[in-house]
Amino acid sequence: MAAKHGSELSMQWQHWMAAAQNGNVVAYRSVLTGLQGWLVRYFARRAPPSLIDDLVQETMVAIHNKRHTYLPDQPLLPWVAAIARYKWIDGLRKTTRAAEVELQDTIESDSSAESAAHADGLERLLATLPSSQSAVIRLTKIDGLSIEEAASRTGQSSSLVKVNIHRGLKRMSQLIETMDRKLQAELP
Amino acid sequence: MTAPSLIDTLVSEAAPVKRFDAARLLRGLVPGFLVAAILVTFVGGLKESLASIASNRGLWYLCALSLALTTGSLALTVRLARPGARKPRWALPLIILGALAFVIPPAIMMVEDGAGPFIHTFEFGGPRCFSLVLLASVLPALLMVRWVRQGAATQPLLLAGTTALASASMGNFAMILTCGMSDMRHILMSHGPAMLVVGGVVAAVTHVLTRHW
Repeated sequence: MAAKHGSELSMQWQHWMAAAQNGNVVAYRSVLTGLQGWLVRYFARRAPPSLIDDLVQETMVAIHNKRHTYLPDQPLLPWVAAIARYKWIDGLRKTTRAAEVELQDTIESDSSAESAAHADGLERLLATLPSSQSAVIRLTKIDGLSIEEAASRTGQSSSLVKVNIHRGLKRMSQLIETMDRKLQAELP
Repeated sequence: MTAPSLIDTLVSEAAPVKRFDAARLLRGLVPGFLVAAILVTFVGGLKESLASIASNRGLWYLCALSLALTTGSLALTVRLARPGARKPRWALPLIILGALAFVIPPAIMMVEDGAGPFIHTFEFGGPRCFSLVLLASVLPALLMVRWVRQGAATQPLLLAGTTALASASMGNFAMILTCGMSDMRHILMSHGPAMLVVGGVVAAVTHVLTRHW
């Protein structure tokens, strides 16, 4: 019974995705909402809980950007699963790389060059981010460009720019918190 | 950004899309291949008369081989360029055999003769055909790379291999008329190195352009 229901649901998503490729907004919202739940369950079996939200969102952005590669006569879920798996492996690779980045133990606090130190600290934080995130943060938050301008400069879609800014800022704040905790621990 | 707000953002950009399928590739590639074939025939001229080309049975076999290599690698490229397709088991053997076919025979010839392979390249009119294969491969390779870049490869290394093989074999196929020779020593020693150059460049470019999306 459950299998039959699952297969009907899958067929329904397949029709919705085909309609979404033709610009049907209602069908697109329905399929994305359905797939979001499916992706949460997919990643819950594979990734640590802290990464699930990021992986689901990255996969949804990838589904959006590559929706033209879906062929309506083919089942939808193997297509989604292949994208999710690729993003999961990509996520694992990034996590491993991030673990290799060494953070500076001390932060310079020379008052005469305070602003230079801030700029240097900001640059160091940005350097720890993937280039797709640091580039859009630089363009929008430092150079003051709009989302659309940053999108055309970087070749990313507007939605991806928004997601990358959000992700990058979140990661930067996590790094600052980690550094802060380290400094607190070193204080006598 | 929460999932519902991400969905709102994505839905706001739900414009109709052009489907990424084999027909779209062929619509660009078939005219591109014909232009490349006409261009090299115009630049290189016909080395043999059309009558002698038509009566050359070896050349027909070579045409059939080139066509098989081209269609096989194209079919694999189409399959590998989109997610969700079953992994083709014969992709890797085809790439390896395709590459080895142009490495092993020259090596054997070199060992047997005790001379460098480039002697054969020059003896059999190699530089002319070497340059023409390079010229003939440019347009098909550009069209192939442009198409695969729009896809979403979940096995970018394999895709780079099949794209390279398809581009190189199409370049070779496009200049068979202007070459008109079926001597395998000539094919292996002048067309082969050019195909390896084309294949190497296309594989590297394709891999760089398709591994992150």
